[in-house]
Amino acid sequence: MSQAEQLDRTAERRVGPVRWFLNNAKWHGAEWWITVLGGVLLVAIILMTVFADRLAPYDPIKFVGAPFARPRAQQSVVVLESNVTIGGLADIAEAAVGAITNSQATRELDERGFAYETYSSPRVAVRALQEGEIDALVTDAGDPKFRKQVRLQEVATKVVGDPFGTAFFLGTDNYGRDVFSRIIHGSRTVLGIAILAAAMSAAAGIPVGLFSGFFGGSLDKALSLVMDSLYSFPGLILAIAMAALLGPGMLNVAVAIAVIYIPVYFRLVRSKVLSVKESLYVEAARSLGAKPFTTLWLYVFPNVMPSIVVIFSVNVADSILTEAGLSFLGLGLPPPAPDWGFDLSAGKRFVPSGYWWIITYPGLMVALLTLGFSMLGEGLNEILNPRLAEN
Amino acid sequence: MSESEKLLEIEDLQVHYPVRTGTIRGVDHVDLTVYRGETLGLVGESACGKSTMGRAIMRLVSEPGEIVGGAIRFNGQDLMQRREGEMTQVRGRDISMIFQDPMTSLNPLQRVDEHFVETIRTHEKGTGKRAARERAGEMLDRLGIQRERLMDYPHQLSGGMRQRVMIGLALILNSQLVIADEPTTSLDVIVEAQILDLIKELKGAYHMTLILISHNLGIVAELADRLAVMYAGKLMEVAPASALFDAPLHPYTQGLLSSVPNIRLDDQALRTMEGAPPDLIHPPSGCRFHPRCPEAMERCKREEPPFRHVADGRAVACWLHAGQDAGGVL
Repeated sequence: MSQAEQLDRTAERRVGPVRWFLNNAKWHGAEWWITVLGGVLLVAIILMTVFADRLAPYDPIKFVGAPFARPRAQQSVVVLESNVTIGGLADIAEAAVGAITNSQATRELDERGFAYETYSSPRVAVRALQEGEIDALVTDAGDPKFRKQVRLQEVATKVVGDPFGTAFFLGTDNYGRDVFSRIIHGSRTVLGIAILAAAMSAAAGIPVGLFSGFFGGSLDKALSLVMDSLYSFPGLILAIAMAALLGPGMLNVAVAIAVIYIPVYFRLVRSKVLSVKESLYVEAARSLGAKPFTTLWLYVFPNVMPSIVVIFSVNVADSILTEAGLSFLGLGLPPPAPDWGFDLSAGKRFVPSGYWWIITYPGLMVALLTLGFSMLGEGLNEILNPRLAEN
Repeated sequence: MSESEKLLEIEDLQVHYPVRTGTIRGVDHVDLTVYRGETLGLVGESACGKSTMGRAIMRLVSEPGEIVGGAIRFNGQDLMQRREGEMTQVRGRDISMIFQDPMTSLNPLQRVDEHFVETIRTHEKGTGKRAARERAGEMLDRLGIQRERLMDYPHQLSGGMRQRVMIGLALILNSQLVIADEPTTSLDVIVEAQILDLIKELKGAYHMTLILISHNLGIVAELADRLAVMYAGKLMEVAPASALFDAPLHPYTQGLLSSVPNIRLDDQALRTMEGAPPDLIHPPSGCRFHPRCPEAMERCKREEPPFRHVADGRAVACWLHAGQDAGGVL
């Protein structure tokens, strides 16, 4: 290795990988941080989608806790201690514990195979605890019924916390399903449908737009008429009609959404083709003997491509909103399936009662995901724009 | 001149552009012959039909234009009779074209070598990529561009280099006829001079026939053997370059020449022609130049002057020279 090469290498090593990337990526004046932020957001959400099974603490469709448990309130299952120290699961196995019949606590204990006494009401259970009948009472302190009958401060014992570690990070919904798990699994539904829909409309719209714009003539006129009529239809209404027609199911919902976005690709591609087709380099290619399909494939399509990439990203963002809209209206996947839009509509009637978390988090996720794709699209637009690349 | 071999014969060519308000006659009944090995300069004001004619020769008139009549005989074969598929074999191999704006005439997403390889392999199916790239490299040597530039994208090249690449693409398959449509208009004078020198040099090396379309008489004077002057879609005058510059016959040619500033004859005032080129949807009756012609006669308004061979290698469409007739067509 020559000395100059060595110098080059050390100069390269002096900057960290992040700085190196920022220096070397061709941003062409784009607001790079918007793109990066959008990208990071998307990567996070996509990772969440991929590892949903591992990340989600609960089954998204099972009733795993008390209804309306507050976010992060570690009160779903508590141990009221008396004369033994209960620190964790092992201590529960050693001690004589009691629980209230048919409560969250009995479910937790059953699941883990612990033996316990059952009591019909919190009051009876607390008395048994005070009389030394049991060492500890495992209960759901967030349970409204428990709260009504026993004030924790008045019990001559103390709350030692949550031996099962069953706090709900984002609370539970009206059925006692974990909001966090539903959000994680819901991202699969939403992203899956949105990307599938955008891909299907791109797959249909791009080739049709290419041919229509490139070959022109009466076929072009007919296709443009069809696409423009489709485009002039209000998107969500068309999607509702399509979804109602096709019935539930991931693929059907995706098709319903895809149909309304086909004209977006068609119109964009066609108008781009019309301008690229007239460009001098296409004419020059023809003057050098290029055949129509060669011209279309090597000259027109690659030059149309950057705008497609951008519109695809923005289109996925749109599809997410449409999907959320459809499932909000009950036209998405059938109910127990985790779906942000559906959770929004199911939870909205509980907001006046103060249970804000049921709809806030799914809503936030819809907003974040849409924002992620929009920012990425915006950034890509500036990065891929060949006119900016020339400077 | 007449004993040389005819490479291209254009006969009664008509190109029409149907537009909402009527039909633009871009090229109206034009006859022109190009001889093998010569450089023919096609001059005229903007929008007189020069470029349309250049494109019509390759049957590449842009939409909605259409060749509605006439014959284009190349090596004796009428290109108008060919199917579009056969034309793609002619384009690039037999006839090729250099365009006005080198900044946009290369595909921004293809490297220089890809342009060459694709052009070569379109016409010579058997050529391998490596061989084609090698030929492209040799061509760049000739064009005075470093070989490394093969791997560059068009936006990495200067305007002059891009035009050189375009010239190289037009010549890579040894086209017999090259149509250069204002090849230096968008370049600065220094680069313009270099490109003209290059064209001159390559013309000798490749024995090509060149049709040079330009509104710049200076460029044409430097390169052309013969000149054809167009006005409003018609040919006004065809003559050997020296004869035309010495003694233009048509009043339009005279006007065109006297409106070029001449640095040596500083006593001569720069004259401009009155008026503007006519509307080609409703062209003037009779001679199309008569509304602007200083020597217009009553006859010019009524009758269209025939394009007639008047003297040795010269033809003109003007009633002033109606008496002379050398007979035959040029």
